[in-house]
Amino acid sequence: MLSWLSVALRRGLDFFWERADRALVFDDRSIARAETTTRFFYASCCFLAYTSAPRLLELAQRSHLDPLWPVAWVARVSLPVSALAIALLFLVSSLLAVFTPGSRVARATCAFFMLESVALQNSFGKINHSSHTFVLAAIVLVFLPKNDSVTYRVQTLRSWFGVTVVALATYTVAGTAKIRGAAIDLFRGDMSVLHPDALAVIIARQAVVRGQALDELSPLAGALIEYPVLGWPFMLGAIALEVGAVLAPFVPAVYRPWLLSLLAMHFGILFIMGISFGNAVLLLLILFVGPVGVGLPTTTTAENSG
Amino acid sequence: MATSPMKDVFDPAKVVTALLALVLVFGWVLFPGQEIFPFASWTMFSRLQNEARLVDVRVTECMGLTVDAPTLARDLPELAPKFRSVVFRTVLLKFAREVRENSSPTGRYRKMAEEILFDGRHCTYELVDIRFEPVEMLRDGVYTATELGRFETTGR
Repeated sequence: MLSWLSVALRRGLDFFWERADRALVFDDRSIARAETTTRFFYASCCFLAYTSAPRLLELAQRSHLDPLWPVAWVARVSLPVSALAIALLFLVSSLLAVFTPGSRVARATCAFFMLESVALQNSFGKINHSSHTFVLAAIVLVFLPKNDSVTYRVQTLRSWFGVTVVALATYTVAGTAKIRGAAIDLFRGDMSVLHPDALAVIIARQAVVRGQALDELSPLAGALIEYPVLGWPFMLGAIALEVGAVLAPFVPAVYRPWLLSLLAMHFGILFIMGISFGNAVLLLLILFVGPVGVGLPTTTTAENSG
Repeated sequence: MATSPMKDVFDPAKVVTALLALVLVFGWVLFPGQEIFPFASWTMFSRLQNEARLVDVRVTECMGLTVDAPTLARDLPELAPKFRSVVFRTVLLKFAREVRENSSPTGRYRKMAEEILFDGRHCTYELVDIRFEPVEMLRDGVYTATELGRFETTGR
């Protein structure tokens, strides 16, 4: 049984990377793009470190903590001191990674302190998941190859492909969670996210829990509540976009339009409900300028392009 | 193509595979509301249901605030902005679970909620479970409230 599973897993992984290699273009243009995107990624990390520092220092004034596992140690140390140390070290390590993106130590340090920073910011009762994909991307990029490695080109492009797939898999999980939630709601005879009025109800519920009055909502939100059926195609479209997201990088022709559609979905959520996924949007923009889906695949393969 | 063992250890493909597995497995196995940082937290807006619920605070008395009759905190101008924060709303939900299940003798989430909402003021309040139909409540303010408990802060 175990050997059968192991063989199936191996074949699945071989198939995954074979399809990935077919979707990538192993040429100089792609590798140059990957290197630039890596620098841009760490510049963005530095920006996140800078913009998150005031929030960390503000949270440090709180007296009650609900620590996530990466910062469980903070409960035993002074919160203000820990917060200051994490904010500073994330800033310094991300700056180091900007100037020395080829150094695995710099990238690993940056990933570690980003994990600590995001974990501490989310250790006060609620996890906001806007920065999760950034953390996952930083972990993958720790393992970028050395630039004198014989497999530098292949592994660099595969790493960026991996960042893309992992980030987009989170959308697929979100989409499938909605399908599962809809199945449960329908089974119980409740209204589900597939209902024509679903978006209007979600907007209204969000406004109520936030303590907003009807006249405080954006004109777009007001219109969708007044004419609920207008929101139906957007709701179904968003679910379809999320569910299929993880497959998009394997099809270069649809990859960028898919990213643009996800960006449009985030913009819609912002303008209709006022919910910002700023860091997730930033990562989508980084992926947009990244080396995945740069053009149609050529005959160049991973095997003959060291 | 020859590769050294060191290169194999740092094969990014393995890291990608492991992270992807964690995101997919945790994401699909966990139920709405459950989260494993940083791999699973993707169940936002996945359930709708006919009747929505939220937890609120009905303030009966509070230093520095004019409260003539018990009033929902979201209807008091000084406290309403706190509800814009999803962190505060989640802390309130966890506080309500703590009360229902009598699960925390130290009242961890009660302390967190009081710190955010009352900011050190001395207040008495009820924790209430509110059931509502979203569009109806937004338009007409119709809801039903059930008291979960009465509390007093230790503030000034």
